[in-house]
Amino acid sequence: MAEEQEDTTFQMITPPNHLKSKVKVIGSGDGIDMEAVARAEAAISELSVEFDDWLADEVERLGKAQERAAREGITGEAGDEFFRVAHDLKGQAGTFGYPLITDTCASLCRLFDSIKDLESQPDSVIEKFARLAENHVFTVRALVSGQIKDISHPMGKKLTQELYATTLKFIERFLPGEDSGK
Amino acid sequence: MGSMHFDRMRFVIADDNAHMRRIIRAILHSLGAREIHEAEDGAVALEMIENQQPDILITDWVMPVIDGIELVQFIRNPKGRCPFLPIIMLTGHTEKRRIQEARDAGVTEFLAKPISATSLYERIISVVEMPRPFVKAKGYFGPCRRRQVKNHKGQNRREKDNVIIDDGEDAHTQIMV
Repeated sequence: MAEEQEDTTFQMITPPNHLKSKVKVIGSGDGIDMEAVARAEAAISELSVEFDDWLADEVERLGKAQERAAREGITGEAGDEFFRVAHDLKGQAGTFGYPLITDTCASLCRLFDSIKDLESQPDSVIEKFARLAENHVFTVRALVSGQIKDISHPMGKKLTQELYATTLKFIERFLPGEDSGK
Repeated sequence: MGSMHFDRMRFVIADDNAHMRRIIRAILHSLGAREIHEAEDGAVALEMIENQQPDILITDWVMPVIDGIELVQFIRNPKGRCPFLPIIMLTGHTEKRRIQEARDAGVTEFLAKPISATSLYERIISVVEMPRPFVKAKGYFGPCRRRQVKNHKGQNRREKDNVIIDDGEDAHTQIMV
């Protein structure tokens, strides 16, 4: 009986809001200080002189992670690290001014994310998976070396779109029903 | 409401990527924040939260040792030290099921990368201006996952039979059956 009561009972709690008392509110408006936003954008812009170096570091990390996965096997910890690095680069490349690298890494993450149990797949599928993942790394390197940043570059657009289409086909063909990233 | 400055607020940033931490720090600093602590993984963040008692946690999802979701789950312990800590999850994950997973863990706000100064600012304002009530139920403790209560067109079952049972200290509690 008590258990039934527990199952159907929940509490709504209004937590103490100390934040409002800590926030300095100046003037009127919708909360956003456009001058502060401009300052923040300027700060990012100041950092942007370092973005190319940062991007180079991240792309090198991606290459090393892929090489390690090729050596040790993509299904274990090396594969997990490969995914983490790709995921990092997906999140950062857009900020660094390379949205096409974000798209490429999004495709790579989708590939990883579509697989619940890669080690139980036949070796042939694992090999194809590893090769397709490696192609994403080649594409990222090509985008960096060609300074291809966004879809205004026709070849870059075609390259990344075809890679994504290939990835989706792979998922559909070899891992039907596994993709839950939609 | 005027424009908000955060010079008296304490932030913890948890992200294993040093570059991303620098970007977030630069944005927060420009928005007035002066006390910003950085953690390179979830375990360090957890210790920092215990020691620094931040006002807001900004965390990545994919991190070594303890990832962002595990970190949120550790924090959202009703008997923990700061179970109500506002948490902004900053991540490259954009899939619906991932967002659902983050919400189910108890994330307050979700911000997809790549981030911008405006998007982070808006999330912080949202945390300050529209704090979510918390729900304590079997299997879940965290912010109410139905922020849009005012726009909800269906029957609002949570408005039924609510009884105020506790108004102690500074948290306000209702129990609903």
